[in-house]
Amino acid sequence: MNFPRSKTFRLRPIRERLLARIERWATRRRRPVSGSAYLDSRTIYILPTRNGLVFGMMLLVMFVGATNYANSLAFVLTFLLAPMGAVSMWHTQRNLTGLVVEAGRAEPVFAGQSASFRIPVRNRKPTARRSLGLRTRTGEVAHFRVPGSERKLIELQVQTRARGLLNLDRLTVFTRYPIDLFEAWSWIDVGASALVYPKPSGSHHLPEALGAAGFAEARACPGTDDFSTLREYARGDSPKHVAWKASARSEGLLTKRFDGSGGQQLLLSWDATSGPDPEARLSQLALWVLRAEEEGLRYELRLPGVEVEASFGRAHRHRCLEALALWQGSGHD
Amino acid sequence: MTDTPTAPGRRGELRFSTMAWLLTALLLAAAPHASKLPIWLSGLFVVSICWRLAIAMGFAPFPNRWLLMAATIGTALATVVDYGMLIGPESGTALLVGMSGLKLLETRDRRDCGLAVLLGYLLVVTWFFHAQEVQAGLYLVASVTVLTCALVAGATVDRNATWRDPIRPALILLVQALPFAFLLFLLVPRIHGPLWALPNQGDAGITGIDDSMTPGAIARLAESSRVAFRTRFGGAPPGREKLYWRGPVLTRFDGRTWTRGAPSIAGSPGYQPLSKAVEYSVILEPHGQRWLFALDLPSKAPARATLNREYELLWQTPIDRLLMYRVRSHPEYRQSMQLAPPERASNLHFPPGSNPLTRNLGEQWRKANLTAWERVERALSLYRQQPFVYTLSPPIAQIDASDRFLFETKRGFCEHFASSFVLLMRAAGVPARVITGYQGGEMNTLGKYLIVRQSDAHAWAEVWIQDTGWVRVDPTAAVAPERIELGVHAAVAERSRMIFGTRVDLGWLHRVALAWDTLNNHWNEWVVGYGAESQRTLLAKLGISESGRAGLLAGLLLGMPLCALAVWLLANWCGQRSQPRNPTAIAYERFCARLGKLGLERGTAESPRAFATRAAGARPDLQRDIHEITELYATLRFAPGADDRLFAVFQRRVSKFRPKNQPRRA
Repeated sequence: MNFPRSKTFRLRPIRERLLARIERWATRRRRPVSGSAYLDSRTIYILPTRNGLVFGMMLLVMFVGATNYANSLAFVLTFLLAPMGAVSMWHTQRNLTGLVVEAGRAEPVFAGQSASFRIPVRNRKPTARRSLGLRTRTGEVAHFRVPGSERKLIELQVQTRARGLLNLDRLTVFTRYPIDLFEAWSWIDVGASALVYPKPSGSHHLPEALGAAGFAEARACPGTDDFSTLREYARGDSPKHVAWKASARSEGLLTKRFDGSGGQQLLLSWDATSGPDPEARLSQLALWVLRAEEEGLRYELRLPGVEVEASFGRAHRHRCLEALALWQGSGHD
Repeated sequence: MTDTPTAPGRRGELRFSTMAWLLTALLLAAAPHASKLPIWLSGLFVVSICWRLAIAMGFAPFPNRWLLMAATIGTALATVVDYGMLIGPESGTALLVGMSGLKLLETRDRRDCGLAVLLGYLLVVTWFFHAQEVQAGLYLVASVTVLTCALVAGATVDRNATWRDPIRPALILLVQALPFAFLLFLLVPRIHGPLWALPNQGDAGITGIDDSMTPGAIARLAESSRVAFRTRFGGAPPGREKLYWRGPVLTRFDGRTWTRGAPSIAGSPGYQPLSKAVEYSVILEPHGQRWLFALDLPSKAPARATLNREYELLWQTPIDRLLMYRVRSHPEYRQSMQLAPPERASNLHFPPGSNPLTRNLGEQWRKANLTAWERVERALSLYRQQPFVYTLSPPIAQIDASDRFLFETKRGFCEHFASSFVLLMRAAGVPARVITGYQGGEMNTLGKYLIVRQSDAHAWAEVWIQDTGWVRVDPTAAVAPERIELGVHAAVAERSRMIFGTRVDLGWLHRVALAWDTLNNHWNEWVVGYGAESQRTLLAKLGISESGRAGLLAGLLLGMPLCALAVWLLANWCGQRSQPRNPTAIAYERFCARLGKLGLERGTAESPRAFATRAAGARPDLQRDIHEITELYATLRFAPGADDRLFAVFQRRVSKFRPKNQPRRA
């Protein structure tokens, strides 16, 4: 856990260590489950917050003062606040029971972007659950509420760093409602993961010399009308490829398609990149995939041990980037 | 658990509604203190509130850290200068007000907000140093409610929460805490006396009957309708003419002022009761001195008080807070003790040179060889036969007041009658002394207790008669019997009849005043005056012994949550047996009900898909709708990851599904 440590509060490291120990003990037999996790009193833990400790000390001071001055109204206030704190503990715990957290999903992102997990949380009780939070191990938090007997999709942004499969293996659901004297929480092991593509970087120039004979010809395409067909505009198409003249004559926007006219195809190969850092080479390949897709070219990806046949389009782009994201290296590397 | 910088509630601004709750709550909690604080401190607090409001509204930035630190140190120093110290209820409260104002200026997140509310609770509790009456109770309820709302608002992290949201949870918390609070208040053992020595905290100073009597002192008291004490009798109250509430006994006279004699021997000499005992409890308002008031004559001192040879009841310390005590008195009595020679001498002392005319008259009676009783009768008939007037505004003489009163003005208040009577008796050779205290009181028929006010202050005399002991003689009664029978306002014609600021003859207004006083009395008896003594009495009445109390408290405190837990588990168990009511299931039930109207009932064990197949077979015209709705339902209920849009589609399809009773002919 890499929570930032407060310099002013010495209790925190002790607390963190204690919590880590509780977590190990409480979840010693758990396996990440796909599907859903139901929260009940057996899986909910509760401890006083810092404000809760201060509240306790305040009550002690009030009680001693009331006794010393034999002040009846001070007794009244002390004896009203003490059970209020105790009752709030029950409310805090109850604010979590009956929640069902299901496995979430996230769209693939590039490394360095934040992955947006959509995690369904269902409230099986008729009363609303308020001021809830979901927290990842790396400390990202989403706050939310779930009305009675409803199901909500909670968006949880998780910062990605490296390519690969980002597993959200353990989440903490927590709440400090209603008066922040106690925090109740539960650890949830829902198998949710996001695909993280390599961060595209490197040279924007596509490899000309290697692989594709007709590349120069293909590159020239954007300036001319030398395209094969027109198709309906789809979101994500480059404005450069919109056939404006043709579009003016038709009802909607049309996009020019360069599906391998002349049979040229681009070879994006590991060997075309160089450098000591394999991650940098993967990043270069990722950038080329994006460039090639943008240019409307057919392209083929070759990694040591992995090959993706030449094609084009969004699905092909995803296949290539997925291969780059999950590539584990070859034998000689 | 720890918060992280990415949590919106931690570093992010507090919502405006949260800030509004917090500022209102602290303003309410601090408001009564304004009357006791130096003006600069109230100013500092108001400025802090306004500044924080401006920050919340986006008009002003947070103050610089150095500025805040300087303000904190400055406040502490100024408090020391103003109060002379930092420790102690007064200066501690002042410091607390200042610090909670400054705390607001660094309240950035919900954790700070919670701490500010806790400071607010402390502000409330410190006010009870100053006041504990019914109004203070109302202040407690109001400020604690608003503070708790602020606490809830601070702990709410939902982005779309409204300002009204905290009210309900806060009230629920407080109401649920009430029964526990009630039990704790009644049963948690109270102890006698302070844990550490305290400076005097009474800010009322010395009020009421003093330990000396100069001409005009009691007449001044008579103009005040402040309550001196309230009392409740165990049985039927004695007649009004017997309600002599004994206070300080004054033996020493210097020619002008009556004072108490030399410190007397502790321990009452005892007496022989001639009537049944009267039992009563008194709730005494703080008056800054040591005496308790009891009916003539108290037989036994309450705990922590002593009864001395003059039958004065003395508390251990000056009474600076409301005090409740129980006494037993005997209105008729006979004392069999002898008067020791020094005691006799001090009760016959007549300062030489003062009041020569009074001394002359008394000495004539002594020389006439009369019995003691005959000398008393002589004096009383003097008051009766000559035109003496009982008045609240007599002419005040500085020298030889008794001579002036007896032989010139003949206008006086009870103190003049008592003082001159005692001097006459001493001159006549009968030991005599002045007793001050209260006489009478107003019966509050609503609450069935007696209110004794400062205006009931009275002075009378006691004379020593051989074989009978000290006998009470009230010379005022000889002149104005209605003073004793009806009270001072009936006896003094020239005063407007004001009690509680309301005229006694305006019936309904006075009844309202009495009702308010009844409320105050109950409050005093059950809240403010509830301490170790009343706790023991109450528990004894309930039949609970000292040792049984701890068990009872533990049992109740554990038993109540256990009962609540049992109820909750039961409710949970019942809740789990019935189907959870989620909107998808509700919509599907509606769909089934519509098919049911066509005679297609879903069996209890029939799966949705099997039911769909059967229904579609029976109504081929509805086949498409039935299958699609069922598929949507299955997806929503059983497939993970289905979202809200799909639910909207499902709900729309169910709403549009209104099959006709007769199948259409194709």
